[in-house]
Amino acid sequence: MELVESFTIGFSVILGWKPLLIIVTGVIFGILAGAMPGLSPSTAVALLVPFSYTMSPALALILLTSIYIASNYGGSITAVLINTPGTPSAAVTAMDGYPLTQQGKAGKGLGTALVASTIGGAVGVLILILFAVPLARVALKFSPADYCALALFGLATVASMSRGNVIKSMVAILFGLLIKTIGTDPISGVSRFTFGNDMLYDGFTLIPALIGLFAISVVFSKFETWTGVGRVMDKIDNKLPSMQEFLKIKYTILRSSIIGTIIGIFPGAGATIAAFISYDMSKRASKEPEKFGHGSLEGVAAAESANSSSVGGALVPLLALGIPGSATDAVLLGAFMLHDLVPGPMLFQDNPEIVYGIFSALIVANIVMLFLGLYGNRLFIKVVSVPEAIMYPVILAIAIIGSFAVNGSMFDVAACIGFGVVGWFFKRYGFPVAPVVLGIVLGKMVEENFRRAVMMDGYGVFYRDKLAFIVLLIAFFSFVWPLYKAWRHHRQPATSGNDEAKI
Amino acid sequence: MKKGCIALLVALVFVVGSFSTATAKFPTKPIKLIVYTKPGGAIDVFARKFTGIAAKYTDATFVVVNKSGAGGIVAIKHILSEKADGYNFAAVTRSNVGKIVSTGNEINVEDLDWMALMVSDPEAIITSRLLPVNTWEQIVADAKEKDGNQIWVGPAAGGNDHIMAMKTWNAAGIKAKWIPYASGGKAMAALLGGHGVVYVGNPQDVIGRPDLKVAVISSPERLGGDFADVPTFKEVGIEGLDNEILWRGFMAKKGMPEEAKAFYHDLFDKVNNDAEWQEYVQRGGAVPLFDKEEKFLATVKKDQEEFGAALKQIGAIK
Amino acid sequence: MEYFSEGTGLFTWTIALVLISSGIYTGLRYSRMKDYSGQAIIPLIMIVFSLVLWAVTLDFPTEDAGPALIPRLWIFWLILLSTVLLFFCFTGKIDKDPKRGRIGFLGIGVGLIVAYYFAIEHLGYFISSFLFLAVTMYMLSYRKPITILLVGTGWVLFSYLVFYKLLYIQLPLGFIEDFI
Repeated sequence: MELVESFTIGFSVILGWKPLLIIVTGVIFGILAGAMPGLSPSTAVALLVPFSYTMSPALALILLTSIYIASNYGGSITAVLINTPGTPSAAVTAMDGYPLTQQGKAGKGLGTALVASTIGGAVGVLILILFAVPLARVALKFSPADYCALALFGLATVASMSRGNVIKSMVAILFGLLIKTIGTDPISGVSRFTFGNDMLYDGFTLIPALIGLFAISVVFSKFETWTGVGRVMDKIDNKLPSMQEFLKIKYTILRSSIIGTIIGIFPGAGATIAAFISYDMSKRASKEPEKFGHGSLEGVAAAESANSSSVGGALVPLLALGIPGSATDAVLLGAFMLHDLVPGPMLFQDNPEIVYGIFSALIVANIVMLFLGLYGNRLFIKVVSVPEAIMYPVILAIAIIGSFAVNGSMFDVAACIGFGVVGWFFKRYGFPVAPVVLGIVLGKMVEENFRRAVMMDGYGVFYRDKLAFIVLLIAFFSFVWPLYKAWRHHRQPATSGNDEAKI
Repeated sequence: MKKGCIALLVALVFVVGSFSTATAKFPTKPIKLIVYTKPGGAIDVFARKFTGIAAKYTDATFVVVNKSGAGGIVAIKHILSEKADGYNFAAVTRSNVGKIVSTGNEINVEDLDWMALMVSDPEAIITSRLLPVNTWEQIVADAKEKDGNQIWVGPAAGGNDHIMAMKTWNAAGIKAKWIPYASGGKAMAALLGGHGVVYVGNPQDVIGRPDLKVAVISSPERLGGDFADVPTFKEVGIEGLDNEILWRGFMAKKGMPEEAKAFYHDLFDKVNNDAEWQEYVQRGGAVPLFDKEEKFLATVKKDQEEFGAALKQIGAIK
Repeated sequence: MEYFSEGTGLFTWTIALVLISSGIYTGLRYSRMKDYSGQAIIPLIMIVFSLVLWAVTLDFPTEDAGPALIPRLWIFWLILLSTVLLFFCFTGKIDKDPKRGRIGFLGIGVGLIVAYYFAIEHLGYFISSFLFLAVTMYMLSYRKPITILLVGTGWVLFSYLVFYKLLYIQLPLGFIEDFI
């Protein structure tokens, strides 16, 4: 009953026109910022930290957490409509969302993303509220070897992500991993491959690389095949998915929400990895794996429910222990400090109104997001009917300002254009770009934890640490199994009648 | 007649001109305070606290501008590229000096005006109450038993805290391993999870985290408040570690006009004596200080040498 | 060996690699397998990129599980798999090259965006964005001056109000900064 009492306090904080207005503002800003490539959740929250300084602590944090949760959804809108993930984790959404738009089913893509995000967000918040403290304790027990194994498991998803030539996907992921080694070595502090350039000490920033690989490369491909006539998407269907379609993917959403929350809890993992892993798992569990990558509603749902639920997960270590679990958490920690608060166990005791105010606000924000999203989708979908001759220049302008906004650096803009050219080359010759993003996202996690584990306990740790060993085995088989199946398939053309040949 | 008019006008201009220089006011436009992290970083909070309190004493408008990248190098280079008119200054910490050394940058600290060192954060040896080893004596005994395999965690290799750890090992005659994490927060998570025995940081790291405690503090005497029970290095019998600090302060490009200089010195002085400011600083277990110009520069140069020597020792630079 | 890890040594190494790989590409282009020559481009670039970075790692501190370990691991696999792909190009076990599109037209597009990048630093963000949008729309044979004007102005207003004013992102102002 303690919980009920706490929530009475929590809801008393957010009931009132001012807090509710702040939640609505936060959700609107979050959705739009999320949809804007370059304003990732952490940047969107960071940009409003100075803004929230003048508010009361509870209102400031309500605003920032509402933005956090809504921006994770917002990323899916541009991913589905114009293949430009607004947030890194929406790169996974784009893999199935954009094919839906190309088939004239943008409404289904957007609707699935919205509902999956809402449910995912709610599941994440629920788990956060109920089990924050014990879960945070368990996550801390994970050793560097375990983290390394988890990251390798993430890398192994490349095998099921690839269409066509698996070697090409692996070259793409290795390219991403190698790119990530540029910059200051996280363990020894030595500068690697910086060639004396200041801007390379932190390595390439993920967001500009992502925008270049996804958005700019698509525009370049369109330029190459430009026929001189601005074509307008002939059929747009803003019909939402039917109830039946939702019922079909209910387990996918639920499973992905739980996976997303759990992965979100690990400090340093985060929304993108959550989306990749749950996409991979959903594809394995699916009755129609062949549809993945060609506009599968399950694929969209898996990615979106996982990245939204990871928000609740990421808040677990922050609120329970005061340890930031994601980049956005680190910004929120600063916001707490700005108001002379320290998140952690003491906050539950000393300022329950803030903790439960945040919990209540997250629940309300999810509901607000659903309604605003339903209304907004009808507007957003109009983007698709903009003539291509206007759309592509504007996408390029968004890409440029978005990559500039991350750090306020022109170097990032140059990097974005450079990755655009790389992405165009990749697309042209059938190399997928999503694995490059996966490599950039996971590269540091693999390397740091691998070297930490070896420094602590030597190479044998990967065998001695039972959990790490098991995860590594799973990672190995999850990598090899699809390859084996594809190979066997290749050997027995007689069975090529079934759908798997299309993967 | 016409000539007289012009003469009068010229005279008037001169009078007005000299009048305005006599009362030359600084500032006449908003001042940019450059911060080397994104909003929400620790130094960003410090800078915003400062501008909030400064508003009590001046009508000047401060705008906090975040120029993140390369651990502060981007921000310092930005300061150096602007005019030395006093309208740009930056929040700095000791780790920026380390970054200048570790990246082998050609930045000359003498080109900068080290305006004021405002806060001195003592380095602290932090342990977890959840582990059996959590006092200084236990750390030393455990280190001797593990013979070089005791694990100390903290942020980036070659940073402040790493160097503090190396100094502590030397002074105490023990051996241990330094396992760096991407940030102090992640290192604290490792300590809480029991993957390391000691975390090196500052007293404010334990605030709000009841499972963590400061085992020893590098300070000439004990701190007050929440840290009154924490022994200093001298008390546990270690010499030469009485004043290892992480300072925070402000700097600008060298050569700003006198009136700007006077404005800042006056302001720093007032803020430093402000009760709210002192409360903010002390709550984090830090000490307000006010070292300016030459004294600050001397600290910076000393730090530069120390980083140079330590980074060579660990092989991060040649 | 360390001669190749920086300065002229690295430069010579890079040039040599680029020349060799261009040679392989040209050879393929005029051989029987010319339909697969495009497919060889990415593997060749990856191999050159890897070998250049590999030369740089020779200079890294040598220690167990040191800074060179993981980069060299990725480099090893990247070279190996790229070589396999290259082998497929020679044996034709890979998709054929896509049809050649309007590379020249694309070149203009890439040129425009690069020009935009440099213009931002000199003309400032707002002026160059307007020009970029207008010129690119024109290039894509859009011919309604009013709409072009509206889109350009709309974008400038949007970026000014939202990014510059609300979010306080310091977009470069270029030469107009001196007039404010």
